[in-house]
Amino acid sequence: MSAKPLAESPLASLLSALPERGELQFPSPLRCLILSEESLAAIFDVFREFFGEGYRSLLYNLGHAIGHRFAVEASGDPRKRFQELADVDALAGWGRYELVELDLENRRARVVVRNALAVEIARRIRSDCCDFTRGYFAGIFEQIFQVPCICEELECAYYGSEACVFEIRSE
Amino acid sequence: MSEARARFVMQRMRELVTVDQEAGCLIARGRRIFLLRDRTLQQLVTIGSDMFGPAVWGALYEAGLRSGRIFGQRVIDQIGPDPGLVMAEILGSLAGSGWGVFRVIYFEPRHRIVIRVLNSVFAEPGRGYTQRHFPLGHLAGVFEVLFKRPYRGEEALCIGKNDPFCEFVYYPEEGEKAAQYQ
Repeated sequence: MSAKPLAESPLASLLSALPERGELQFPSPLRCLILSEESLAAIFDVFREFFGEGYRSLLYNLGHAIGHRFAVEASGDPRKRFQELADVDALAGWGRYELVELDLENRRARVVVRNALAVEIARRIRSDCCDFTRGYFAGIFEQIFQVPCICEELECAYYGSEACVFEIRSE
Repeated sequence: MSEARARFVMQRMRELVTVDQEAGCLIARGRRIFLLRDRTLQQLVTIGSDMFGPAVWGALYEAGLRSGRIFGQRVIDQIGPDPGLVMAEILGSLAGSGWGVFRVIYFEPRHRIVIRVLNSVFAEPGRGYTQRHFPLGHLAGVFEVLFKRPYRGEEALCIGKNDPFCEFVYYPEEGEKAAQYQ
């Protein structure tokens, strides 16, 4: 781990604070807010209580919509696009993604996620919640491959693996 | 009031928050935090409403309530139970976290508390349904641990409905709910 105070990290130059407006922007001018892991755990936990297993579909659909949108905003070749998203998400505290395999011809990719925020949440609520991440990668790679994609989680840190491993392929 | 506190919190944040870009972690006071885009919250409500209808709003209120209880208790543990100090810390922290500017308009915890929210990250002018139920519940949870009785939060005004600002009103619960809390 190479933790630095915010002021000395690359996040400092990307995060704009407007205290008189109670506003944060990251990356500027996109508005954002800070939430704690406990707050997100409360959202996931309550949604599971309210909507049963249907909450998994909600997480997947949400992740998919966001991944789709973020991938549209990113630029460059597929690896650069993914890396740009991964770096922004790492700075935002969502974990570290590594694209370990990218097969453009057969439209397959494999991503390893370490320190996933979703896994921390899962430990709190004692239920895996990688559906959001599955949807997120499916949304990203649909933009990259330009075909509908599915994402499967092959390994999950919540269940004891060293990291979460996702495989994305065309439907 | 909360703007000055927010300035202080945002400055303090630069010292308190550690960033591990390699690991993808943000840590503040030993707890993991993260940045969330406002659009992501909007999509949570939009997609959730499409799938489950207005029950999503109740779920967001309940989630806010639970996280507010935790947050409120942590602040009380850190600085003590003085309501004025706790309120200043809580509202300043919310503003410092980018939630908007929170102002106390009326404060009589035995009867009613009114909080005005300017530039809320949870609502957009004229947008109709919003994510406001989360902060509404969040403050109800804070008041519950601060005054040791349950509160019911209602939104009197909302910029999402073209009001000039958002305003939350809190009433102490009476009857069965209050008795359950005892």
